[in-house]
Formats: sequence, structure tokens, C-alpha cells
Amino acid sequence: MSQRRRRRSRDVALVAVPVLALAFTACGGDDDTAYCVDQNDQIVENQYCDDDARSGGSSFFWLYGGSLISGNRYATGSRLKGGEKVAASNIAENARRGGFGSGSKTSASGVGRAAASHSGGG
Amino acid sequence: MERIDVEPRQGWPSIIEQQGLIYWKTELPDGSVMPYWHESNAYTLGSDEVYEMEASVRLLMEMLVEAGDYIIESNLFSQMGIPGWAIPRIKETWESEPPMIYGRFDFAYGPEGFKLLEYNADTPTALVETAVQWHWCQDLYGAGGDQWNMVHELLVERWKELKERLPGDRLYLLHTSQEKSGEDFMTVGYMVETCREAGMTCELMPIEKLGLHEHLGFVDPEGRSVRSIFKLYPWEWMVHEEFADEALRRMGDEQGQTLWIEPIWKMMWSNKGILPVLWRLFPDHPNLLPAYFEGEQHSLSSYVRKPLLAREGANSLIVIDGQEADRGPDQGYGEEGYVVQQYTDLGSYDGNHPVLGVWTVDMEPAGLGIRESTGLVTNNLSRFVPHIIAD
Repeated sequence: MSQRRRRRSRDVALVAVPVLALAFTACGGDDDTAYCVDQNDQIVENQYCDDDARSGGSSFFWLYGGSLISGNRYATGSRLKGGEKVAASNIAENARRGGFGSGSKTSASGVGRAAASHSGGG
Repeated sequence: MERIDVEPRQGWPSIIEQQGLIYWKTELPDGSVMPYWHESNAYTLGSDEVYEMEASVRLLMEMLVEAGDYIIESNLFSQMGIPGWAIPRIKETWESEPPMIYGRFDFAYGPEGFKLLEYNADTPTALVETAVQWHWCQDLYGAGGDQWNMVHELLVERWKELKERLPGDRLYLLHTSQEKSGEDFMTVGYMVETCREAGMTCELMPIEKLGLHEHLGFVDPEGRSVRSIFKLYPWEWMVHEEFADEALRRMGDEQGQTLWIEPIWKMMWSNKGILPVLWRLFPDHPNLLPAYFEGEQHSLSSYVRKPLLAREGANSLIVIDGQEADRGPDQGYGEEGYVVQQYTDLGSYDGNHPVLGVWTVDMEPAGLGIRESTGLVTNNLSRFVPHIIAD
């Protein structure tokens, strides 16, 4: 079985993983999510930011790392505070965002614990 | 295989957290916490058992290639719930073979030997746990400890092979920020670890941040073209989302296009419909269980009904001798249809039912990770239990 041994010595330790683990625990991993908000920091449909980006308007913003003023659902109509606000018309050469990732049609939030529904277990 | 008692390491939670397993607490409905990582026990295997699994997996990979050809020739896409607009790219990438990285077979190991339960070909997780168990093995058994675990090395090797082949000057590794426990984030973080070790430039990014520019194609938040992506986000969701059309249209190696890992043809392998297809092509193969698309005639009285697309045992139903024995949580899966697969005994070890997850890197068997459950459905209440090779 010796060829199956990892043979990875202790000093070739994980480099990125411990840093990332710490970063996620500290920030809750939330800070990268952007929400489309109006001038009152109220969440609106992403469509408004997309339209603004396309038209070069200045009424809507992407808000990074904001948190809710009340409640726990980041839904349309919620008010946010803090974070970084960027005019939708300026962002990354008008790239649209959020076209992947937010639209899962199931109640599962991620792909984790992707266990099998086994026949008798899996 | 046996299940043995082991003395847990002093301070194991902080050890495993530092190694990336920050999501080891499973919150139960009553608010209490169950550790998902379980090192008070371990499974021991003989090297003969490992060799047998390894050989089975090599063969299954070849069978899967035939199954992919068969799905395309027989046009089984609609029966598998795969939308029509994805088919041309599935066919095209199946032929052109853009790179793939990894997958995980789940096996039952009962009295009748290794039986394939399913293959997670698109977004397999438990990668971090698999690495953590190697550190556990070293802590407990030192240089003499052995484990079937070449996953890290083979991933690094695979990235080295792909380094020159991937378009662009960096690889974007995408997770979903919708997942809050850190499991998806750290699984992709672990992939970053292996890809950095291979000497690549890596960008860890939430998929929600991926931008689409009218002329440039996919761009990162700084407006740089995103030419190569590894994503821990299933194609079966992506094809129904807003960027699907453009991702399909702009798929490839050229300027303004993006190469996606895993490739979209993995929608064929990661679909539970692969199970009846394999059984149809290789009936009575010793590692397969009889399986059928729902609606096909069968004479199974003990079976598991699984949605074509589902995770964590969700919406699956176990029927034993015509009676419902257990079911997974309802998460709204099943719209696309179901398969039925013969019920098989997982074996019972002090009342626990293990499922053996065998990793593949590219086409190679790479290592083992075991999860056990007290119930019949291996769901999100399962525990990851380390293993050792005992001889």
C-alpha cells in the first residue's frame, strides 16, 4: 500500500486554506454580495441597475457589503446601511451581474453535503 | 471493513477549522448542534478492498463514457430533464473534450459488495473533509498511517497539466455566496490551494459577481475578461438562469469566450438518469443496481425513488417490500422526473450506515471519504468519519 500514502510532508502545509477559513469566519462571507439599491438604500430588482448601466443613468447603485437595517431577509424593499455604494452606470464597464447564482429555483442554498439519496442510504 | 473506536484529538474543532472545515457544526431542528466531523470512530479497510474499489471505479469510468455516447445517440435528454437549449453544447463539448477535473462516486458496501448509488460529476463536495482526514491520520498514526487518499496530489498534477491549456492568464474559481455555512466557499478555497500549488494564478470569486459585458463577454468586477472558470455551481441550475444563453453562446477558448470547468456535458453524468442508462447498457454488472426511469416497467418491490436532479437525499423515498420505509426532506426537487433504483443494504456498523465516496480526478480513482448516517437516507445529518488502511 505504500504507493497510496500521501507522502506529503508536514512542512508542505496548507497555505491558502487557513487564511480563507479565517477570512470567512471573520466576515461571514457576505461582503462580496452586491445588492441593487435606489437612492434611499432600499433594495430594488437588479433590473433597475442593469437599465441604469445601459442608459448611463445615475439613480441606482450596487451596494457592496451593506447590512440590513432590520429583519434578516435581503429581499426587495429591505433597507440597507453601510457598505460601499457604486453608481450602477459606472461599474466595470457596464457589465451586468448577478445573472448566475441568485436564481436557484430550489430551496437549497448551496451545493454542499451533496450526499447521495442512496438505495438504503446513499 | 470495520468500525473502530478512536480517542478524539484534544482540541479537534480548532484543528479542523484551521484546515478549512469551518462548517462542522450541523444545526438540528431543535437548535442543538451535531458535529458533522466525527473522529471518535474510524473505518478500517484492507488493501484488497481498496484495490477492488479502485478497479471498479476505473471500469465504471469507461462505462460512463459509453453511457454518454448512448444518451446522445438515443436522444435521452428530455427523459433526463435536460432542457433543449443546452443540448447542442453538451454534444459539442462531449466531442471536443474541454478539460474536466473531478467527481465522486458514492457506493454502498453491503453484503453483496460495492454497489454504485450515484456519481456526483459536476459539483462534488466533501473535498475539505477528505483532506482533513489525512491530517487526522498523520496526527494519530504518524508516518506509519495509511489511507486511500491521493486526491490532493492528483488535483495538483491535473492543474499542472491544464496550466498551459487554459485560456487567459488566470483561473477564476467561483462559489455561491448564497451558501452561508462556508462549505461551498471552503470547497472552492481548497481547489484554490491545489491550483496555486500547481503554479497557476487563481481568483476566488462569488458567482454572483460575475459580470457580462455586451462586447467582452464575461468580465470580473474590475472589467477583466474571464476566460477560464472552475465553478462549484451546477449546470442544472445555470441553464435556467439569466446568463445561460450567453454562457452557452460564448463557450470556448477564443477571445470573448469562456472555458468552463466542469464542462457542460457533465449534465449527463451528474443526472440520476445515468443510473438506468448504465443498467440498460450493462445489466447484471456486479457494481450496479437495477435502475429504471420512473414509468418504465420494473418488478422492484424494494427500491429508492430519487429525483433526476437533487442533493442531500432531498425528495428521495425508500420503499421496502412495497412499504415506505424512509424519505429525505422535501426541497422541491422532482419536477424533472424520477428514477427508481433497487434498494440495497448499506451494512450496519454499530447502527450506522456508511456510504463510501470514491474520488476521481480526471479519469483516475483518487481516494476515499466515508459518511455515515443513522437513518437510511444519507442526508445533511450524516457525519464524515475518517478511515485508515489497516494492513
